[in-house]
Amino acid sequence: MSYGFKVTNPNGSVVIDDEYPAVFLENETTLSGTKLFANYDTYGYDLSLTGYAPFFEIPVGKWVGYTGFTSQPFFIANLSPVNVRKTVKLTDITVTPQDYGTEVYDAAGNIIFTSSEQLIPVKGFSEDLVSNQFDAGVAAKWCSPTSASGEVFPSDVSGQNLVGVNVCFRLTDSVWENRGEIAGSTTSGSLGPFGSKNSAIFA
Amino acid sequence: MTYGIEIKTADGDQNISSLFSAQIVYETQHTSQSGSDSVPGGVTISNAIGICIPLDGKAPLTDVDISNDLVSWFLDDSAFGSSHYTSNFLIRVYRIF
Repeated sequence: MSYGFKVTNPNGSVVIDDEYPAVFLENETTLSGTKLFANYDTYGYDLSLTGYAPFFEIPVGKWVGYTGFTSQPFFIANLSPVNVRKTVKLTDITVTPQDYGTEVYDAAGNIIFTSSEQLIPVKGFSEDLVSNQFDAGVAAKWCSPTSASGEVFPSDVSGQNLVGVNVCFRLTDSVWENRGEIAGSTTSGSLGPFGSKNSAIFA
Repeated sequence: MTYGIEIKTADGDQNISSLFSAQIVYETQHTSQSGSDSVPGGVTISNAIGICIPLDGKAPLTDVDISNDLVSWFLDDSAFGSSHYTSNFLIRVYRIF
Protein backbone atom coordinates (compact mmCIF):
# COMPACT_ATOMS: atom_id res chain seq x y z
CA MET A 1 0.00 0.00 0.00
CA SER A 2 1.20 3.49 -0.73
CA TYR A 3 -0.94 5.17 1.89
CA GLY A 4 -3.65 4.39 4.42
CA PHE A 5 -3.57 2.16 7.47
CA LYS A 6 -2.56 -1.45 7.98
CA VAL A 7 -1.56 -3.44 11.05
CA THR A 8 0.22 -6.76 10.59
CA ASN A 9 1.42 -9.24 13.18
CA PRO A 10 4.96 -10.69 13.24
CA ASN A 11 3.79 -13.47 10.91
CA GLY A 12 2.95 -10.89 8.27
CA SER A 13 -0.77 -11.46 8.61
CA VAL A 14 -3.08 -8.50 8.37
CA VAL A 15 -4.96 -7.87 11.60
CA ILE A 16 -6.50 -4.51 10.72
CA ASP A 17 -6.49 -2.50 7.52
CA ASP A 18 -8.52 0.26 5.95
CA GLU A 19 -9.94 -1.80 3.08
CA TYR A 20 -11.78 -4.79 4.51
CA PRO A 21 -14.02 -5.00 7.57
CA ALA A 22 -12.92 -7.26 10.39
CA VAL A 23 -15.32 -9.60 12.17
CA PHE A 24 -16.67 -8.45 15.51
CA LEU A 25 -18.84 -9.92 18.24
CA GLU A 26 -22.35 -8.47 18.25
CA ASN A 27 -23.89 -10.56 21.03
CA GLU A 28 -23.79 -13.91 22.79
CA THR A 29 -26.86 -15.87 23.84
CA THR A 30 -27.70 -19.23 25.39
CA LEU A 31 -30.31 -21.28 23.58
CA SER A 32 -32.25 -24.38 24.60
CA GLY A 33 -32.70 -26.89 21.82
CA THR A 34 -35.68 -28.99 20.86
CA LYS A 35 -34.99 -32.71 21.18
CA LEU A 36 -35.48 -34.18 17.76
CA PHE A 37 -35.49 -37.90 18.40
CA ALA A 38 -36.55 -39.80 21.50
CA ASN A 39 -33.59 -42.17 21.48
CA TYR A 40 -30.80 -39.79 20.55
CA ASP A 41 -29.28 -36.74 22.18
CA THR A 42 -29.81 -34.64 19.13
CA TYR A 43 -31.28 -31.19 19.46
CA GLY A 44 -32.48 -28.70 16.93
CA TYR A 45 -32.01 -24.95 16.87
CA ASP A 46 -34.08 -22.84 14.57
CA LEU A 47 -32.05 -19.72 13.93
CA SER A 48 -32.38 -17.02 11.36
CA LEU A 49 -29.37 -17.14 9.08
CA THR A 50 -30.07 -14.03 7.14
CA GLY A 51 -26.81 -12.34 6.49
CA TYR A 52 -24.62 -13.81 9.17
CA ALA A 53 -22.88 -16.96 10.28
CA PRO A 54 -23.46 -17.90 13.94
CA PHE A 55 -20.62 -19.39 15.97
CA PHE A 56 -21.33 -22.11 18.53
CA GLU A 57 -19.41 -22.92 21.70
CA ILE A 58 -18.54 -26.59 21.36
CA PRO A 59 -17.29 -28.60 24.36
CA VAL A 60 -15.02 -31.62 23.89
CA GLY A 61 -16.89 -34.53 22.35
CA LYS A 62 -19.66 -32.35 21.01
CA TRP A 63 -20.57 -31.33 17.52
CA VAL A 64 -22.80 -28.80 15.84
CA GLY A 65 -24.09 -29.10 12.31
CA TYR A 66 -26.13 -27.12 9.88
CA THR A 67 -28.76 -28.72 7.73
CA GLY A 68 -31.69 -28.17 5.41
CA PHE A 69 -33.71 -30.52 7.62
CA THR A 70 -37.41 -30.13 6.81
CA SER A 71 -36.43 -27.23 4.58
CA GLN A 72 -36.04 -24.86 7.53
CA PRO A 73 -32.95 -22.92 8.54
CA PHE A 74 -31.79 -25.34 11.14
CA PHE A 75 -28.83 -26.25 13.27
CA ILE A 76 -28.47 -29.57 15.05
CA ALA A 77 -26.19 -30.49 17.93
CA ASN A 78 -25.62 -33.20 20.48
CA LEU A 79 -25.92 -30.73 23.32
CA SER A 80 -28.46 -28.43 24.90
CA PRO A 81 -28.35 -25.64 25.85
CA VAL A 82 -25.73 -24.14 23.61
CA ASN A 83 -24.00 -20.77 23.62
CA VAL A 84 -24.14 -18.93 20.33
CA ARG A 85 -22.26 -15.89 19.19
CA LYS A 86 -23.55 -13.62 16.49
CA THR A 87 -20.67 -12.13 14.56
CA VAL A 88 -20.87 -9.18 12.23
CA LYS A 89 -18.76 -6.85 10.21
CA LEU A 90 -19.13 -3.29 11.35
CA THR A 91 -20.55 -2.12 8.03
CA ASP A 92 -23.64 -4.22 8.80
CA ILE A 93 -24.47 -2.40 12.02
CA THR A 94 -24.67 1.15 13.25
CA VAL A 95 -21.44 2.18 14.95
CA THR A 96 -21.45 5.39 16.91
CA PRO A 97 -18.13 7.25 16.73
CA GLN A 98 -16.47 7.46 20.13
CA ASP A 99 -14.85 10.38 21.90
CA TYR A 100 -11.69 8.37 22.43
CA GLY A 101 -9.98 5.22 21.18
CA THR A 102 -9.26 4.13 17.63
CA GLU A 103 -11.52 3.98 14.62
CA VAL A 104 -10.59 3.03 11.07
CA TYR A 105 -12.62 4.12 8.07
CA ASP A 106 -12.58 2.68 4.57
CA ALA A 107 -12.46 4.84 1.46
CA ALA A 108 -16.26 5.08 1.41
CA GLY A 109 -16.35 6.50 4.92
CA ASN A 110 -17.58 3.34 6.64
CA ILE A 111 -16.17 2.44 10.04
CA ILE A 112 -14.51 -0.97 9.57
CA PHE A 113 -12.61 -1.14 12.83
CA THR A 114 -13.26 0.34 16.26
CA SER A 115 -11.53 -0.22 19.56
CA SER A 116 -14.88 0.02 21.32
CA GLU A 117 -16.12 -3.36 20.02
CA GLN A 118 -14.81 -6.87 20.57
CA LEU A 119 -12.85 -8.35 17.69
CA ILE A 120 -13.21 -12.09 17.04
CA PRO A 121 -9.75 -13.68 17.04
CA VAL A 122 -9.02 -16.69 14.83
CA LYS A 123 -7.43 -19.65 16.58
CA GLY A 124 -7.10 -22.29 13.91
CA PHE A 125 -7.06 -22.80 10.20
CA SER A 126 -6.84 -25.75 7.85
CA GLU A 127 -6.43 -25.84 4.12
CA ASP A 128 -7.81 -29.32 3.85
CA LEU A 129 -10.21 -30.80 6.35
CA VAL A 130 -11.04 -33.57 3.93
CA SER A 131 -7.95 -35.40 5.03
CA ASN A 132 -6.69 -33.46 8.02
CA GLN A 133 -7.66 -32.67 11.52
CA PHE A 134 -6.18 -29.52 12.92
CA ASP A 135 -5.00 -28.26 16.24
CA ALA A 136 -6.68 -24.99 17.02
CA GLY A 137 -5.15 -24.51 20.47
CA VAL A 138 -6.69 -25.26 23.82
CA ALA A 139 -8.41 -21.90 24.10
CA ALA A 140 -10.34 -22.26 20.89
CA LYS A 141 -13.88 -23.45 21.20
CA TRP A 142 -16.14 -21.52 18.87
CA CYS A 143 -16.95 -22.74 15.40
CA SER A 144 -19.53 -22.05 12.76
CA PRO A 145 -20.82 -25.03 10.81
CA THR A 146 -21.02 -22.77 7.80
CA SER A 147 -17.22 -22.67 7.77
CA ALA A 148 -16.78 -26.44 7.93
CA SER A 149 -18.52 -28.10 5.07
CA GLY A 150 -19.40 -31.74 5.04
CA GLU A 151 -22.43 -33.78 4.20
CA VAL A 152 -24.29 -36.58 5.88
CA PHE A 153 -26.30 -38.93 3.69
CA PRO A 154 -28.96 -40.01 4.49
CA SER A 155 -30.10 -40.50 8.06
CA ASP A 156 -33.71 -41.51 7.65
CA VAL A 157 -34.56 -41.17 11.32
CA SER A 158 -38.28 -41.33 11.92
CA GLY A 159 -38.81 -40.86 8.25
CA GLN A 160 -36.66 -37.75 8.14
CA ASN A 161 -33.54 -37.10 6.18
CA LEU A 162 -30.68 -35.01 7.40
CA VAL A 163 -29.55 -33.34 4.26
CA GLY A 164 -26.37 -31.48 3.62
CA VAL A 165 -25.19 -31.34 7.19
CA ASN A 166 -22.08 -29.30 7.83
CA VAL A 167 -20.39 -30.44 10.98
CA CYS A 168 -17.92 -28.92 13.43
CA PHE A 169 -16.73 -31.72 15.70
CA ARG A 170 -14.46 -31.08 18.67
CA LEU A 171 -12.51 -34.24 19.34
CA THR A 172 -10.25 -33.13 22.20
CA ASP A 173 -9.24 -29.92 23.93
CA SER A 174 -7.27 -28.91 20.91
CA VAL A 175 -8.20 -31.09 17.95
CA TRP A 176 -11.11 -30.41 15.67
CA GLU A 177 -12.41 -31.88 12.50
CA ASN A 178 -15.44 -31.38 10.36
CA ARG A 179 -16.71 -34.91 10.35
CA GLY A 180 -17.80 -37.48 12.86
CA GLU A 181 -20.57 -39.83 13.78
CA ILE A 182 -23.86 -38.10 14.05
CA ALA A 183 -25.70 -39.33 17.11
CA GLY A 184 -29.11 -38.94 15.58
CA SER A 185 -28.32 -40.40 12.23
CA THR A 186 -28.71 -44.13 13.10
CA THR A 187 -26.58 -46.82 11.54
CA SER A 188 -27.64 -45.78 8.09
CA GLY A 189 -26.00 -42.41 8.51
CA SER A 190 -22.78 -42.03 6.63
CA LEU A 191 -20.52 -39.23 5.71
CA GLY A 192 -20.64 -38.18 2.14
CA PRO A 193 -18.27 -36.12 0.08
CA PHE A 194 -16.82 -33.04 1.62
CA GLY A 195 -17.04 -29.73 -0.11
CA SER A 196 -15.44 -26.58 1.21
CA LYS A 197 -12.05 -27.67 2.46
CA ASN A 198 -10.84 -24.53 4.12
CA SER A 199 -12.06 -24.12 7.66
CA ALA A 200 -11.31 -21.92 10.64
CA ILE A 201 -11.93 -22.04 14.36
CA PHE A 202 -12.57 -18.78 16.14
CA ALA A 203 -11.93 -17.83 19.75
CA MET B 1 1.61 -5.30 28.38
CA THR B 2 5.14 -3.92 28.21
CA TYR B 3 5.05 -2.69 24.62
CA GLY B 4 3.03 -2.92 21.43
CA ILE B 5 -0.67 -2.63 20.80
CA GLU B 6 -3.51 -4.48 22.46
CA ILE B 7 -6.97 -4.86 21.00
CA LYS B 8 -10.19 -5.64 22.78
CA THR B 9 -11.36 -9.06 21.62
CA ALA B 10 -14.02 -11.57 22.53
CA ASP B 11 -11.18 -13.41 24.30
CA GLY B 12 -10.07 -10.40 26.35
CA ASP B 13 -7.43 -7.83 25.46
CA GLN B 14 -4.84 -9.36 23.14
CA ASN B 15 -1.56 -8.07 21.82
CA ILE B 16 -1.30 -7.62 18.07
CA SER B 17 1.83 -9.77 18.03
CA SER B 18 -0.13 -12.95 18.68
CA LEU B 19 -3.44 -12.04 17.12
CA PHE B 20 -5.09 -13.30 13.97
CA SER B 21 -8.32 -11.80 12.76
CA ALA B 22 -10.75 -12.47 9.95
CA GLN B 23 -11.53 -9.79 7.43
CA ILE B 24 -14.40 -10.14 5.01
CA VAL B 25 -12.92 -9.42 1.61
CA TYR B 26 -15.86 -10.64 -0.47
CA GLU B 27 -19.58 -10.94 0.13
CA THR B 28 -22.04 -11.20 -2.73
CA GLN B 29 -25.54 -12.60 -3.10
CA HIS B 30 -26.02 -15.28 -5.75
CA THR B 31 -28.85 -17.41 -7.07
CA SER B 32 -26.96 -19.75 -9.38
CA GLN B 33 -25.86 -22.97 -7.69
CA SER B 34 -22.57 -22.97 -9.53
CA GLY B 35 -20.26 -20.17 -10.42
CA SER B 36 -17.09 -18.33 -9.65
CA ASP B 37 -15.99 -14.78 -9.06
CA SER B 38 -12.77 -12.89 -8.59
CA VAL B 39 -11.91 -11.91 -5.03
CA PRO B 40 -9.75 -8.99 -3.88
CA GLY B 41 -7.36 -8.94 -0.97
CA GLY B 42 -4.78 -11.40 -2.23
CA VAL B 43 -6.61 -14.53 -1.12
CA THR B 44 -5.18 -18.00 -1.69
CA ILE B 45 -6.03 -21.48 -0.47
CA SER B 46 -3.52 -20.89 2.31
CA ASN B 47 -4.98 -17.74 3.81
CA ALA B 48 -8.75 -17.67 3.38
CA ILE B 49 -11.97 -19.58 3.84
CA GLY B 50 -15.13 -19.40 1.78
CA ILE B 51 -18.57 -20.07 3.17
CA CYS B 52 -22.10 -20.26 1.84
CA ILE B 53 -24.85 -18.61 3.89
CA PRO B 54 -28.31 -19.63 2.64
CA LEU B 55 -30.96 -16.92 2.64
CA ASP B 56 -33.85 -19.24 1.83
CA GLY B 57 -33.62 -21.69 4.71
CA LYS B 58 -32.29 -24.55 2.64
CA ALA B 59 -29.06 -26.49 2.96
CA PRO B 60 -25.81 -24.79 1.96
CA LEU B 61 -24.07 -25.73 -1.25
CA THR B 62 -21.68 -28.63 -1.04
CA ASP B 63 -18.60 -26.88 -2.37
CA VAL B 64 -17.05 -23.48 -1.85
CA ASP B 65 -13.43 -23.44 -2.91
CA ILE B 66 -10.72 -20.82 -2.78
CA SER B 67 -7.85 -20.45 -5.19
CA ASN B 68 -5.64 -17.53 -6.12
CA ASP B 69 -7.87 -14.43 -6.19
CA LEU B 70 -10.88 -16.61 -6.97
CA VAL B 71 -13.84 -18.16 -5.16
CA SER B 72 -15.91 -20.86 -6.81
CA TRP B 73 -18.98 -22.73 -5.70
CA PHE B 74 -21.01 -25.63 -6.99
CA LEU B 75 -23.45 -28.29 -5.89
CA ASP B 76 -22.99 -32.03 -5.85
CA ASP B 77 -26.64 -33.07 -5.78
CA SER B 78 -26.03 -36.69 -6.66
CA ALA B 79 -27.71 -37.94 -3.48
CA PHE B 80 -30.59 -35.50 -3.42
CA GLY B 81 -32.09 -33.18 -5.96
CA SER B 82 -30.95 -29.61 -6.30
CA SER B 83 -34.18 -28.38 -4.70
CA HIS B 84 -32.90 -29.50 -1.30
CA TYR B 85 -30.15 -26.91 -1.54
CA THR B 86 -30.12 -23.17 -1.44
CA SER B 87 -30.64 -21.13 -4.57
CA ASN B 88 -30.48 -17.77 -2.81
CA PHE B 89 -27.33 -17.34 -0.79
CA LEU B 90 -24.37 -15.25 0.16
CA ILE B 91 -20.88 -16.32 -0.74
CA ARG B 92 -18.53 -14.84 1.82
CA VAL B 93 -14.75 -15.02 1.88
CA TYR B 94 -12.82 -14.49 5.11
CA ARG B 95 -9.18 -13.61 4.81
CA ILE B 96 -7.41 -15.11 7.81
CA PHE B 97 -3.70 -14.76 7.14
